[in-house]
Amino acid sequence: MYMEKIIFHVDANSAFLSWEACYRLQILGEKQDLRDIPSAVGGDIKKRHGIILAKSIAAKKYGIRTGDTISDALKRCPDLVLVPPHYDLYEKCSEAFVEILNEFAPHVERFSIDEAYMDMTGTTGLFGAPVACAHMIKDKIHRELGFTVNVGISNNKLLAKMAGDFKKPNLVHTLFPQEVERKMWPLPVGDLLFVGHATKRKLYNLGIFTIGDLAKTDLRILKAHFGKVGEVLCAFANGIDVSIVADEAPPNKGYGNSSVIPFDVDKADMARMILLSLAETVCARLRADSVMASVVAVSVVDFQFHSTSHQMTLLNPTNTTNEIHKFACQLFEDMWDGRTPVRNLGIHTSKMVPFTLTRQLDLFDMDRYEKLAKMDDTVDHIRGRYGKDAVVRSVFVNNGIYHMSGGISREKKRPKYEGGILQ
Amino acid sequence: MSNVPISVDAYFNLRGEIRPRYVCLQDEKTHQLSTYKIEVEYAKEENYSGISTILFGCFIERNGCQERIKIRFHRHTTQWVIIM
Repeated sequence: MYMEKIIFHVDANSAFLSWEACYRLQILGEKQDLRDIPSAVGGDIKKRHGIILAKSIAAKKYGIRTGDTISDALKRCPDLVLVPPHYDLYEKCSEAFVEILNEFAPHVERFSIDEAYMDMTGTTGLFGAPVACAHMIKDKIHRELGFTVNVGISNNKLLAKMAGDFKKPNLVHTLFPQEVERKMWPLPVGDLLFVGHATKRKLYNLGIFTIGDLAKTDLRILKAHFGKVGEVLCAFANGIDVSIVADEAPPNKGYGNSSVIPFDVDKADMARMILLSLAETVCARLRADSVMASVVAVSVVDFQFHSTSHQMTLLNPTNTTNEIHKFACQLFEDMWDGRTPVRNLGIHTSKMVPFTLTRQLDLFDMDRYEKLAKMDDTVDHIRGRYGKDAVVRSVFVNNGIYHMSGGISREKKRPKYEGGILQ
Repeated sequence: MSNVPISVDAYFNLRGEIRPRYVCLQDEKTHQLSTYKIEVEYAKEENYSGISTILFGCFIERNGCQERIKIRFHRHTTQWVIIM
């Protein structure tokens, strides 16, 4: 018997900010709710991580957007209350949020830290009609965890996600295929999932301004301008999406880390050291997932925010820190003029292959890869057991650079609350 | 901040649930520490922000008067705080 699919998209409203607000209210006992005042979660200007990560609705009224620099945000709203991010807490909130969703659906797919899809097909007998069930989930999350969510309901993931992004906060919206023309087509084309700034600009140049315009555009025109993506855009604009709710995330296609450096780098030695700290992080992740990379890329952002990147295909896939670092340094030296101050460095790896010990040997290559691999394994083991700082390369001792750059720093994971309780 | 860490003497009841028995509080004026016997009115499990806690509504007898206080137990850090 054919059963109509029911998909929910659940999205925490201003996630980082409301999690932070909830923690401060309920656990630390603060009296002021960050959600009621112009407030934002943002990075540290001194460390040049100065962007807004989440903002309250009151802050939004001042024109503050996620991704704005903190200095811009403070210009718009001098009274803005800024709080540092606290990623450990956000991970906890996200876990608890997904745990509640798992009580209702057999299949839950995490889309990001604050969003998830639920396949609710066939659960009507258990929890009632989809809208009533969505309200039940929304209210349970609010009651038990203290923050609000939006729930979007439809027959596929795309429409459920679009519905979830309608008016916020703490609301349930439906967007079934028969409602697409009325609810989705009048929206600006930039609101369509996966339409970024570049695609939006191209679509505007073609005279396509709304999702409805896109849906009615001849597929041949879209294919001529966007290639294969044109087909996807056309399908999405018509509310067609055949992807399923997958419990497990697909394997990573690439691993990379980048770091905004607190000072401008103008010496090659310093850049090599930062690349080494990035290689440590990236390679540890590769080894943890038992994969090796066939392509290494290095990205550089200079002090004027000009971005460049170079990549190379390796003769032998690898996940050895020293090897990836060696190639990263080669790439960096190829593209850097030796003078321009560098603000951000990144190492990205792709074309993954499963880990294997065998490799094609080179007559002129004298590196002892087996020994290096063994050393990396031992270091990973020690760091896994005693913490990341249990083993540090001597080059990083007392030079001010953290030996494993990229990702989320320890301060961001666990900032200190004055007089508060650290969990 | 209004949640202040406090010292609590607690026990586990026959169902294995933690229950506070004595609390040590400081007098606001004299700054003198005194211990009070606790009478639990209610216990409520909470999971705000994914942090597992138990909120206790309790009575203590201070200066001859019965006073209502709220204390919270953090399961993971095994810390007690008083909600001011």
